[in-house]
Amino acid sequence: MSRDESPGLLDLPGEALALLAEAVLALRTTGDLGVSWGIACASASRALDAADGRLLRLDRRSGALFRVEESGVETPYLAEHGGPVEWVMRHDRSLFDEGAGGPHAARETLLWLQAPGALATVPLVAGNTHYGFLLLAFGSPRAFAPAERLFAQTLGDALALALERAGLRQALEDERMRTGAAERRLFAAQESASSLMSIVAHELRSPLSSIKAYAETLSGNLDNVHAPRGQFLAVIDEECDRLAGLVTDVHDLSRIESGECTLRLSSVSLAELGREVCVRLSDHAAQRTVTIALEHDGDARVELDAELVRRVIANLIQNAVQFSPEGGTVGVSLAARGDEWVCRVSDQGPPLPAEDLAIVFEGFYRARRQLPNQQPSHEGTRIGLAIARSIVHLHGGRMWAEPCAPVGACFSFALPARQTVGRDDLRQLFEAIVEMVAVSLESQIVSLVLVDPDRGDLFVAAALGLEPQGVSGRRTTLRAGIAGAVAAWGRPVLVENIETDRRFRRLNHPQYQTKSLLCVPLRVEGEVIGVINANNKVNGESFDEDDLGLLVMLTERVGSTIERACAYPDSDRVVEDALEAVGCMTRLKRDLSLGGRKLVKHARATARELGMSPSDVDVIGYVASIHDLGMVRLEAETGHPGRLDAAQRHALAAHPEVSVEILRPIEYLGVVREFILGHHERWDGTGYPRGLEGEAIPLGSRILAVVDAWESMTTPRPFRTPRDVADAAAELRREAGRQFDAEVVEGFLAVLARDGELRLAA
Amino acid sequence: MAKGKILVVDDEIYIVHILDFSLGMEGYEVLTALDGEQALDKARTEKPDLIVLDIMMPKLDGYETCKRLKADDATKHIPVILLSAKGRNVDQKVGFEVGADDYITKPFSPRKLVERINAVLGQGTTRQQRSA
Repeated sequence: MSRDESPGLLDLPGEALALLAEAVLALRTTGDLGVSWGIACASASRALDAADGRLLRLDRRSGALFRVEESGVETPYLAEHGGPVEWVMRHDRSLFDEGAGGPHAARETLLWLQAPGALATVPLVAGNTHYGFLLLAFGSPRAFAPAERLFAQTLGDALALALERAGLRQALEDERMRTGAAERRLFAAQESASSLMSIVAHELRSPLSSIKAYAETLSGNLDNVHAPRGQFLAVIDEECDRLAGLVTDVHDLSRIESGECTLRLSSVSLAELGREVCVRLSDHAAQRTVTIALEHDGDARVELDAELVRRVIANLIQNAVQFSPEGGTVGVSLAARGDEWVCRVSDQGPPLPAEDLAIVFEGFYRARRQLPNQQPSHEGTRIGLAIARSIVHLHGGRMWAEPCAPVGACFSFALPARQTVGRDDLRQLFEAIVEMVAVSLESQIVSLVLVDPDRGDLFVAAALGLEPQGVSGRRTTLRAGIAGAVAAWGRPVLVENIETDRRFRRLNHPQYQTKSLLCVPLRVEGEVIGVINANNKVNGESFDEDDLGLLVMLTERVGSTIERACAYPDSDRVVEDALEAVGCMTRLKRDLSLGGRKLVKHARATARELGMSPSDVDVIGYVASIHDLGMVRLEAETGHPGRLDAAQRHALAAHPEVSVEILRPIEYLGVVREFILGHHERWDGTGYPRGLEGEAIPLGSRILAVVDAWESMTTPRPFRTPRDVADAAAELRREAGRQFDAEVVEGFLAVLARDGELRLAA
Repeated sequence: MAKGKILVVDDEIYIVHILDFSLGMEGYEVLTALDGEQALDKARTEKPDLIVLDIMMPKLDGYETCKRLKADDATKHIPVILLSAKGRNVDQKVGFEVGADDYITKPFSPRKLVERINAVLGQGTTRQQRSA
C-alpha cells in the first residue's frame, strides 16, 4: 500500500505530532480521569484548533453516559436522539461531521456553550471494551484531513487506555470496600445475637430466682404452721407461667429477627384495625377501672400484616393500662399522615424518666416508672416492647417513646402506608420484566424481589403466578429462603428438583409448591439489589442450564436498565424506552411465538458444539431468544407478516436493524447488536442489510441463520406447512456454502443427531 | 429481742416477701425497699445492721446505691450484700469496687443468704443448724 492510500500520523505538522506524543505519554502515566481529560483536551485544541472538547464516560453495565469534568466530577448525560453519539455507539467508529448539515444539525447541543460548526466524535475503545466518547467541537465548518482524523483517533485510543486503568483501579477499590462492609455486617449480626442471648439469660433468671427461693423455703418449712405455704405455692405457680410466657416471647422474637417470619400483607382501614384491638382489650382494662379511648382516621387504608401489627398495638395498650391510675384513660390514636400512618398510645401514669426514652425498647429494659400500687408487674414480659419494635422494623417503620403532657407517657410507632416501592414508572417496568421473564422461560411463577438496604430485608416488587393476596410487597429478611440465600451469596442458582436438592430442600416454602426453580441475583453497579426468581415450567419439566443462561443474560439487562433509570431520574424516556423494549420481547414470544425455548436450546448447543466459550454460549442463547424483535413492530405496522407486498418486503428486510433499534435502551453489548444485525447475511455475500460475506459475518449471526432456518422450516405456521426433519436437513446442506456457513450447518446437524431429533444419514 | 435489723432492697416484690419471711424466721427484724432511693432513705433513718441490695433496679441501680451508701458517713459502716441476676466476674469486680462486702448471684438459696448474713454480722449458726 502506498502512503497516499494510507495516511499516517507523519503527515501531521511537526508541532501537532509532538503534542500528540506528549499527550500519549502523559495519559500513560496518570490514573486520574480528570487529569487525563485535561491533557487530551489541551492537546486537541492546540493541534487541531478545536474550540471545545468533552469526555463522555460510558458505564458498561448500565449503558448510561456520564460527562467527565476536568475536576473529575461526573454528571449523567443522555445522548441526543439520532445524534452523533448514538451513531458512533451503533457503528463503533468515529464520526467526523464537517458541518455540511448546517448549524442546526444534531451535535449534542446540550454539551456546548456555543453550537459547534463541526464536530468530531471518537469512540474510546480498549480491547473489546467501549469506555466512552471523545467529542471535539469546532467553531465553524471545517474539513478533517486524514491525518487529523488519525490524530483524533490516536488521542481517543490513549484516552481509552487511561479510562481502562481508572476503571480497574476503581474496581479494586470497590472490591476492598465490599469486603470491608461484609465484615462489618457480620460483626454487627454477631453482636446483636449475643446481646439477645444475654437479655434472654437475664430475663429467665428473674422468675427462676423466685421459684428457687420459694421452693427451697417451702421445703425447709414443710412442718412450719406459721409459713404461708399456700401462698408460696401460688407464687411458684405464677412464676412458672411467667417463665413459660417468656419462652414463647423469646421464641417469637428470634423468629422475627432471624427472618423466619415473613409479612403477610393485607389492606385494612385504620378504623377496623383500632376497633379490633380495643374490643379485645377493653375487658382487661375495665378490670383495672381503666377506659380505652380510641380515635382514628376512619377510612384511611394501610398495607400491613394485620395480625402482627394488632399484637404491637395490644402490647402498647397493655403496658399503658398497667401504668394507669385507677379510673384513668388510655388514649389510642391511629392517624394517616401522608405516606405513613402513626399509632400513639398514651397513659396518665407516672412520668417516664427522660434518660430512659432511648433505651425503653431494649429487651432488658425494665420500666423505671413506678407502678401505681406497687403490684408486681408480670403481665407481659419485658421482651414485649422489643418484639413490638422488631415487628415495626419488619414493616419498615420506627418506634419511639416520649413523655406525655401533663402526665404520663406516650408510646408511638409510624409505619409506611404502603409496603411496595415508590416509583410508579419503575413498578410498571418491574411488572413488564416479570411478564417478559415468565414468557421467555415458559415459567409459571416469576417474581422480582428487591433488597431494602435500609432494613436489610427483601420485598417482592413484582410477581406473576403467585396468589394475588399478600404477594406484592411481601417482606422477608435477607437470610430467609432461597431468594435470601442467593441475594447474600451473589450467584445464580438452578434447582432442578427441590425435593432432591440438598442445598435448598429445607428452605422451600410450601405455599409455592415449587418443584424446579431458577434464582438469579440482580446487580446494579456490582451490588446485589435483588433477585429474579422463576419457579416451575408450564410444561412440568425441570429448568436446565440453558434456561439459567438465558435468565442470567435477561437479569443483567434488567439490572442495567434499573441503573440507567436511577442515573436519569428526571427523564421519562429511559424507562419508557425500556418498557417498550421489554414489552416487545414479551409480544415476540407470546403473540408471534418467535425466539422460543427450542430455538434457544439449538443455538446454545450449536455454539457449544463449535467450541465457543460458556459466556459466548450465553450470549448466543440470549440473542436467539430476542433477535426477531423487529418483527413485533413490523407486525404492528403491517398486520400479519404472512402476506407481504413489495413495501412490506422491504420493511421486512430492515427488521434486523429495527430489532437493534428496539433493543438499544436495554442492550449494552456491541456483540449482541452485531449478531442480530448479521443474522440475515448470507455466506455468499448476497444477504442483507450489509452484504457481508463469509467469515466477515459474525459467527453468532451464522449460527442464528442456521437454527432460525431450521425453526421456520420445521414449525407449523398459519401460511406454511412444516417440512419433515430429513427434508429440512437436506435443505440446510444444500444451502451450505451459499446461504449458510457449512461448518455451522454440520455442527448443528450433529447436535440434532445427538439429541435424537434427527437421524443423520452417513 | 431481734438479732438485728436488715434492709432488703429489690424491685421483685416476691423476692422481698420471701426474704422477709426467711430472715424473720431467723429472728431478724426486716425492713424493705423497692428501689435505690427508698433504700437510701431507710438506711439513713432506720440505721439497719446490714443491707441486702439487688443490682438491676429502677431509679437507682444497686451499684449506684451502694456507692452512695459508702460515701455517706451516716451509712458507710453498714455491710452490704449485693444480690443480682448478673453472675459474670466483671460484675463481681464492679460490686467490690463500689464497696460491697459480699456478693450473691440469682437464682440464690435463701438459706445460703442467711448463712452469709450471719457470717457478716458475726452471728453463729442458722436456725436449721441449731435445730439439727
